[in-house]
Amino acid sequence: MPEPVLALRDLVVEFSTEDGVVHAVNDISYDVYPGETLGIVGESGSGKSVSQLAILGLIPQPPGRIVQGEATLNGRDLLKMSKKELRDVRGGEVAMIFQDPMTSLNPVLKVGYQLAEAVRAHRDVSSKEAHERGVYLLDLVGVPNPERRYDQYPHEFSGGMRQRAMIAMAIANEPKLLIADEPTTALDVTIQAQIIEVLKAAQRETNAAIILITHDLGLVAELADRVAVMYAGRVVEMGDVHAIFAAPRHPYTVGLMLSVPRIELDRGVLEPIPGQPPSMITPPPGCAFHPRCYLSEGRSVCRTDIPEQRRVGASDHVSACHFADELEQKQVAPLKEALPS
Amino acid sequence: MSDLKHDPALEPELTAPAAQPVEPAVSDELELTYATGLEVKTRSQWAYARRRFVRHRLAMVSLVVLIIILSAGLAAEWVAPYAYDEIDLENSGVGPTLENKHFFGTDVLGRDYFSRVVFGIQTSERVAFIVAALSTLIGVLVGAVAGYYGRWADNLLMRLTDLVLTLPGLAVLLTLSAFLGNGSQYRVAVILALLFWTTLARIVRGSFLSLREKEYVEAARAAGSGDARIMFRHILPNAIGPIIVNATLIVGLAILVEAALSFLGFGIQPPTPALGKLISDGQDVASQYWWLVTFPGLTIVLIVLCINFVGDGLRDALDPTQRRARA
Repeated sequence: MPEPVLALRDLVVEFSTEDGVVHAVNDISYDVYPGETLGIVGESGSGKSVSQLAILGLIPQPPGRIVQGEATLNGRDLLKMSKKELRDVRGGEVAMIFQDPMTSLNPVLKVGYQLAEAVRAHRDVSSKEAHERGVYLLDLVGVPNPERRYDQYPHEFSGGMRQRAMIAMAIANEPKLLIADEPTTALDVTIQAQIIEVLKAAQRETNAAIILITHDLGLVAELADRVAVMYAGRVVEMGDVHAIFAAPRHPYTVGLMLSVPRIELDRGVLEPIPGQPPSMITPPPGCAFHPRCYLSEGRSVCRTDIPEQRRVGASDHVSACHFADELEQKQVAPLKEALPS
Repeated sequence: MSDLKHDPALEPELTAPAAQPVEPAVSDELELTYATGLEVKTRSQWAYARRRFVRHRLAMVSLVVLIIILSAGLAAEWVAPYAYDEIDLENSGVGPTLENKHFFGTDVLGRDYFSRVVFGIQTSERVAFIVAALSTLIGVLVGAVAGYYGRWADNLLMRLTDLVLTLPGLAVLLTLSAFLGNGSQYRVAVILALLFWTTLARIVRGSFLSLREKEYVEAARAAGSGDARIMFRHILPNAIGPIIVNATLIVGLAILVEAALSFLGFGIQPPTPALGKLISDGQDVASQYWWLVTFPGLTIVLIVLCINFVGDGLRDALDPTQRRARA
């Protein structure tokens, strides 16, 4: 295995609120390797985005607080960096693509200006060179008439075009790591497919690692090489995308997959995961998923012990379930068909 | 029709930047119009604002009147038939007449009042411009820092603003001008600016408070932009409307207050002509020489009225929620 681009270890993030301390991220660790795409899935509030924002120093502190952890990017710990160093990393070695392209471009500045700014923030280039690079980038992400588009305002761009421009800005400085926070959620389905292609092309071009934050399992199947499933601020299952889609080893992952509507399977009523997402202020003791778990069947260890990640199945497939092995026998039939072909 | 069907071969291929990716035509109406040769006129926000302003009749008329008055002041040396201190003894105390170009009459000493009013406008302009520029600068800086950083910076700066706001304006003005010594128009301008920045600071703080939560600000931060760049490149242009309107209104206010100060004798001192001073000079003899009070007074009223109408027009024009122009 090559050196990871980003090695995240034992990250804990909390937020102080009036109601108490929100344990947003509890002790998560993972590696991301060059050129690969790591999908992070989980429902709202599971800590997907917060963990990414935290390593870039983008959560407001207070109320946020990074309690512990290490985020090693090329041998340097992001969490120990000064504000100045971190600012150089942001948009340089690590770039971010946000969810809603309609609101993440500044409406009063020309798209080209914003692109050139992304370039000039990290490179000592003349405005002419920045302009050329901006046009080149717009072309690269498939914006037609890049010269003309360069001088237009965001409101003259359609949603898909804006997201392309956002991707262009993100790859402006050939980042080592690209964090895409639900890059297609705000887009039309027809545009989503195009944006996925653009992302793939951008990755080929820069050989960047991508962390893809999403709750769209289809997108993960399409783009990701490995998946980390998050629940209540923890990584509950992680491994190769094919392995997990073929044989999920955590009841939460199974629940997620069963709740995806699939048009080709006559499944009748969708099966949601019963219950509510847990309170992050007072999470359930033991395994945070146990109140909603069909596998636990009231066994006491689920209520008392927080399950450790254990290797299950192939090489790097890990699951944080006390009874991960039981799932091997209790494979859910429709899941076989959910495997991406 | 077959070419409109979805063809997988038309999917954008992004490997080489040299190859023009083919955009599925329906996804972007602009591309469609480029392709068909129909030009859709796209307007910038400024173009929309300009259109709305031009259609605001009262504001436009006021703007024209204002431009005439202000350019007369700017070009006072050429517009005024006499120097402001030139004495025409043969025609002292005459009423408004076209003879010898004493349009607004002369005072007891034979000084031409039209010329004095025009030079007075020049003084007012200079003072008002400095006040507007300086107080806008202070207000924007204070408001931006308070709104962007929040927390203790906000508390400190806003309490300072409250403090300045609670000062009884006129009393402070009089004390300050007595204390600093009065006379110089620049000193008067600085004193006014130090009192006038508060409203703007509050407005700007409010805008920054809400704008800093925008996603494009977070995106800019994620792209590695520093605080100063985010504040003044990303947020400020989005908050510019109220700032412009406020600066315009401050020009009007500054002219009024400067006139009041000069009238009371705490503002600009002779020989520099000031509109307020002209009125107070004429006041003693107003029963015989009515024109000495009337014309400078009317000039002030006209200027301030026009500025306020223009400010109103700007407010409407720069309000992005207002899509339609007013008739």
